[in-house]
Amino acid sequence: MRFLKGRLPRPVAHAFSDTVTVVAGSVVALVILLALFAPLLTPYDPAEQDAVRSLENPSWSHPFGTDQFGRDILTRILYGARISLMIGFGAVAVALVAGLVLGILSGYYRSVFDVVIMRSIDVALAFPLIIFATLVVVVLGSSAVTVIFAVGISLVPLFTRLARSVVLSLREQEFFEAAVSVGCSDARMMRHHVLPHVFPLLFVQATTAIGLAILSGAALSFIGIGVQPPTADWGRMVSEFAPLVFVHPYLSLYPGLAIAMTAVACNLLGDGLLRAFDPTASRVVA
Amino acid sequence: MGAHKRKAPGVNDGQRVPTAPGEALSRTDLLRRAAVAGAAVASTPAWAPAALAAPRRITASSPKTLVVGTDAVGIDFVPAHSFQGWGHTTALIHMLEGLYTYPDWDIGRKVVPVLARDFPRRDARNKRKFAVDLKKGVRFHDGTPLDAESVVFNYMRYLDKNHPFYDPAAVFTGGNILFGIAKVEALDSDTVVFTTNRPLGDFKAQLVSPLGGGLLSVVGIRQAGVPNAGVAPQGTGPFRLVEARKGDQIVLERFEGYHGPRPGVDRIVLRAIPDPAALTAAILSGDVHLSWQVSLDDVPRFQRDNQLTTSSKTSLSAGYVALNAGGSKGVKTFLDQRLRIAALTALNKQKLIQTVLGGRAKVGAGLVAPALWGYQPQLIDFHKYNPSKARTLLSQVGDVPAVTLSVPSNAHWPRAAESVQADWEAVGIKTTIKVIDSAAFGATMSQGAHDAFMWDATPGQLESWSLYRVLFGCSNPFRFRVGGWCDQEFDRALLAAVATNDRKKAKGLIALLDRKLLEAGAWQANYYPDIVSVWRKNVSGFNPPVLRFASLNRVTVK
Repeated sequence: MRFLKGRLPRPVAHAFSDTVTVVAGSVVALVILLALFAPLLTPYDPAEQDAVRSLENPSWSHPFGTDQFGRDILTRILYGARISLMIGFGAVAVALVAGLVLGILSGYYRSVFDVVIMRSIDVALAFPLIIFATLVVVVLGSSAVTVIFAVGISLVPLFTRLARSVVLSLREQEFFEAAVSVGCSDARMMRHHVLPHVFPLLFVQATTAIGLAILSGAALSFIGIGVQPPTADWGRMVSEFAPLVFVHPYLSLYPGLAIAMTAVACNLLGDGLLRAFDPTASRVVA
Repeated sequence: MGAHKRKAPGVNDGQRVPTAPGEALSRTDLLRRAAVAGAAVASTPAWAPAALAAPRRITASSPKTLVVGTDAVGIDFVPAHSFQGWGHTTALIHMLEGLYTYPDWDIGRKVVPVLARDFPRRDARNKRKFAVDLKKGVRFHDGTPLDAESVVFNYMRYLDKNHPFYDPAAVFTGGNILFGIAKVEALDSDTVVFTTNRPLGDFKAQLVSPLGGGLLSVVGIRQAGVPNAGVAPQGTGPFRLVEARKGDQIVLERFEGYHGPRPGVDRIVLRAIPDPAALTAAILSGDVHLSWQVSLDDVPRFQRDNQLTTSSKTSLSAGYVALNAGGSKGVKTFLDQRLRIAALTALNKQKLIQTVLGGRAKVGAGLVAPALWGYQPQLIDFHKYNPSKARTLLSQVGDVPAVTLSVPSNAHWPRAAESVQADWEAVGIKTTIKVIDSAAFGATMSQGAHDAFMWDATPGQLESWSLYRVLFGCSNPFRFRVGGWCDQEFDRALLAAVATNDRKKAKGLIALLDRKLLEAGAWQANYYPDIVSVWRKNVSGFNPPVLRFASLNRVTVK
């Protein structure tokens, strides 16, 4: 990656110089490409059932074999990537926007506003992420959109607290006081002096949260309250194959590996970006 | 990287430096302390007082003990109370006995007296009166004798709302047991007289049920009171209760004073293992001796194991789909009969059996499974799979509404729903699956607010007309499962089937009931699933059941 040196912004070049980050980024990119071009990569319909081909072993025509309904497992893994990525990116987008707004408002205005938002966030934090998401899905019903919303809401506290802490530290900065003293409106302050500082940090936080969101979405599907059939979904596939673990143990492996690989890649990519954009966060050695 | 070589606090060139309170421990110190703590914990059983030690769990290696893997167990042993799992029902039939039963609950044999001395005698002058003589010398587990008063007390507290120990929670009364019985009286200490309020072809059949037929000690009920009558049950069965932990296990111990043959084991442990994979693992590892509730997916794995014996029989259950044909709770989705028939015609039963049950089921006919006398083989696959016919019917309907198909969350039901969803969507019925917690499923469906649902039905009373009476008809308690669908001719035929003791005539009437249901498109039996029993080679005397519960009286463990 030496050829990139001097041609890219320093954090990006830093990220490209880290092998782990590059590999993780490549895996994420590959999963995105596979998801996008799934219809071109496989001739099968992920939902079409063919009882004659039920539980076939891996072959050239079905490299991962078929499931109980005779559906091609590789096809369902490819289409399942769409759902997993949609949940991962969608939920984090929801959390990012909501966390950004709440965190900035809370840190900027403080007083009662701050107390109300932060105590609500504390209450939300008291619930483990998956329990909170389950609660939301049970109330709103099961669908891909609900899962995105549920996982997104459960991640909001993470972003809100981070955004608020950044705003609080910004308030102590001289440029901030200067901007206030020359009479900048609240809207202008937030748009020009707060958001540009807060957003990059939250964006990096978002990359690390995507893996968590994918795992949470898969967990909801695994327990049967996430994405509903016949939509192909990795978590649901693991759940469907679980009863067959003694007879066809390899079946659970495919969706399980897909979940693990994507979540780990997202996390490593997030870590790499965090190190690149925030040098103070890099390798803390005791 | 230099920071990695920094010495940890408390360590100085290999010499241990004493740490002050609050100061960080060195790694060596931490490991040393952890080792001491670990050794202390490990040696706890040696010095801890016996009272502090947890009771030893009975295992499959305990002498003369049979450990059975089941679906669920509860802690309420009043038999007519709500269903608490087939493992729980198995416990009930070993603790409590009724007046009559099938020998070892084998429905292929004839009903025999248990606590009765002989079959009921019909009164010559009043044909609705039956006298039953009781067996002498029978005692409850608490030592009190069985007499006519205890029979009257047990049944009248289900029937008579003014009885001081009336049990309002006895939901199976009138449905699975005591149907048509108005009064129970003691003629003398050994004879009970039953009076019926309608003609009953086979009177004694009203008393044969694991869900209400068993008798409890009067003294026990009086002492415990109505709400706790089922906590410490005192029956007359070959086993008495030692321990019951909800969702965990029930332990039964042989009753020394039993009036019948001595059982083959001293102790039965009914262990609740609802997760099919966990149950399979428990069987393979030898943690349980036998189970008849194993996942059909794992049968090939059991068959490969030379330490296990596997048996497969067609069960008495019918896996069905019910449609809200009556439009209860304002649900109008399936009010159009053409839509109902289209839905049933679009359902591919063979595919359902193949993909969901691994081919281990028979295609459904009527409500009665092949093991019972009311089975109607001429109705097999009544609504044959015919997607083009379904499409034609749907085109006549016009606007096809979207449908919600409800299924319980346990066993193979979500997978079964996926199969039906694909069939319905293929002909143009947009289908959403709704998975409902299995514990609440029956109650939710009984409210009648659903479009369609799938479940299975097993007769509680082991008579061919039993389920028709419970599930359908204009005045029956669970009729809202088919949306309150009601047909007067169906009701008359049902009562006539119950009233006759002519099996041939009764079978003809049951055919009429099935035909009514199928032609209305309210309900359809998709299949009769196999029930697969698996037991270890050191177990003998086990008769694999076709019911979801089994008699273990003759089982021995080497």
